[in-house]
Amino acid sequence: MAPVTLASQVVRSEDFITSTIDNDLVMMSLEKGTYYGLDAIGSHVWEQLAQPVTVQTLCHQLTEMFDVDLEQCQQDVLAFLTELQKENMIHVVNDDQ
Amino acid sequence: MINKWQQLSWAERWLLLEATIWLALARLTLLFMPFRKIAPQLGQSQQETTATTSPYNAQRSERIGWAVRAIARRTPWESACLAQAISAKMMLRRRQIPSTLYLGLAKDNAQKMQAHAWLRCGEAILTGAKGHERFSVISFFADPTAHPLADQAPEPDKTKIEALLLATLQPDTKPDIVSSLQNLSEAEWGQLVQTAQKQHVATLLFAQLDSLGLQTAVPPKLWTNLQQKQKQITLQNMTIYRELSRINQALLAEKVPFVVLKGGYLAAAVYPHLGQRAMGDLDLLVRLENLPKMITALHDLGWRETRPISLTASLEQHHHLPPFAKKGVPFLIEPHWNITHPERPYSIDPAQLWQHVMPYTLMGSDVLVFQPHLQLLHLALHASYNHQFAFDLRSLCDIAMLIQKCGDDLAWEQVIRCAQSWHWQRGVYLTLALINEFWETAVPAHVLTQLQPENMPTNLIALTREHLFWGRLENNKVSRNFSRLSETDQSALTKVKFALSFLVPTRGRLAWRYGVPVNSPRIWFYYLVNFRDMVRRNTKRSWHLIRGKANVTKTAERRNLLASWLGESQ
Repeated sequence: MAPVTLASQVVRSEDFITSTIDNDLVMMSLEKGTYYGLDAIGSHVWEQLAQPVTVQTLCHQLTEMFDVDLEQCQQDVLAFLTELQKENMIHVVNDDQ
Repeated sequence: MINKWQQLSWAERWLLLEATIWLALARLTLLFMPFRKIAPQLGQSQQETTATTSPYNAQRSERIGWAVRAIARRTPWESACLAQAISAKMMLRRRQIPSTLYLGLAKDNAQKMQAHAWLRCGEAILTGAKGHERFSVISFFADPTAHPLADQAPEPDKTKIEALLLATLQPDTKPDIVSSLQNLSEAEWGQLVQTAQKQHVATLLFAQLDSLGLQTAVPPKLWTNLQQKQKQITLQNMTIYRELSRINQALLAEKVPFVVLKGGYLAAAVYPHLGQRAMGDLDLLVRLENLPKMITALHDLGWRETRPISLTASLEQHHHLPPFAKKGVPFLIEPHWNITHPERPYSIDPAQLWQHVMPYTLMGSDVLVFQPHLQLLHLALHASYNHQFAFDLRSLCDIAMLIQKCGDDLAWEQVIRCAQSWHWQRGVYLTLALINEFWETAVPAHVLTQLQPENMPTNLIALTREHLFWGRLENNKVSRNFSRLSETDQSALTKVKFALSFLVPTRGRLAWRYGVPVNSPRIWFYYLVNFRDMVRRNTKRSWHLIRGKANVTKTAERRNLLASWLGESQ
């Protein structure tokens, strides 16, 4: 599995059923039947991942919406996406750089 | 024991004898009846009696507690905490002494869940006292106080609560409802939520209250309960759609098209949030010739029949198979080949249904659903013909939400045309008229005018409304078969014949109900089983009806009137 880098283009997996509980996003894996929960920022990222997007672009968008500097944001987002990748929740679509 | 027995007074001996009888009855009841049937008999749920009682009653209740505890230790059968609590409660109730029964849960040292029941009268715990503090109370049941104390809140006005509930559930809520809701007392809130629960619309009520910003007006305990309920339904529905996606893949591979009926469509497509519409089962429609493939697909995915299937008997008697269940999944699947029973005035050829379907993506699954006009017709059919409005407010909310969601996409002229040509006009009209009675202008006026049947009894809508709200009281849903027994204009002979027909049904009906082949010699055994089941189901109701218990008799009467009007050929 290709590691997620700033240049990776990522898209979310379609194999999930999602809904909300108390402003959190709850997701259920169609394959495994397990539940996942994402907080407000996590769900925002999830929304952005409906279409393929590079991690770099994603981070720029996030710094405009939330009060966070770019470097911190990139670090957090990469960690978060790696986590999602481990659970097969996102796919890296091109990694040619 | 013998020595002690001789020292006892006659009053005490009598009390011990009574306790023995009640403990035996309680044990038998707990063995043969599901708890949800017993619970309503224990008193009002989530209500507590006062912490004080008169010294005279305290002394009497103390003796009763002693008698039950003493006998419970000695019965040859098991007299667990719940049987003790129920017995003591019944003995107190006979003497008109109010008490509260508590049910609690706790984890033991091995982290296993344990349940406990205890009974409180005044400040004394009469049964199950030992260690009850360890358990967190999950529900409690109180006898209604015989003489309400002067400073107690007055009984909430039921008509007011009914009107408020309807106004809150209106799909486009009016802002003036907010101030009426803000002024509700705690007792009235309790009544409102309880009524909503009975009508299966508690989560819808919660969503409406939430969107009106009324969180702070609702008593916190009730709010948390409603919130929990919505969470639970959200998670459960996600499980259901996951199973749907697997069934979809399996049937897609077999090239078997299928339609997701009612709740399965409504929860994801019509209601704004997945947790607002609970479903007990998932109803799926396939063409009759595909039914065997459907069954195989369900088997492959781990679904099993809840009772043996006799296909020929099912086809003769019904429009769907008995439900399928799967281990670890909290819902059932009912495979349908039609949406009406065979040989009724409103029966339909299922081939017609397939001309009114459309593709739809339900939570990621590409399936078929009914087009909006057939969706509406099906829901109306279900509420009227299948259940004669002894159903619930939810079935009407479903339709109101559908109308609001579809807007101009709903082909009303198709609704009218199909209702007329399929002979569903009376049921559809009555359902829509009732919706308009509850939520004005939900249904376009010209639709109602065109659908209105001739010679409709003038009080029918009022009667149906009453039936919908008060026909479900005290758990005495009166079955159609049963209510026919109380029809006054029938001769005694007809009644006896009719009673025989359902105590001794045709072989075909038995075959459907118990899944045995019609020609099997075993079928004679099922006449006995059926007799037992009938007695179990109807004993209490018959008793009420014979004694002329007012609300049961009235419910039966209303139901007869509705059913006979709906059943006449059109």
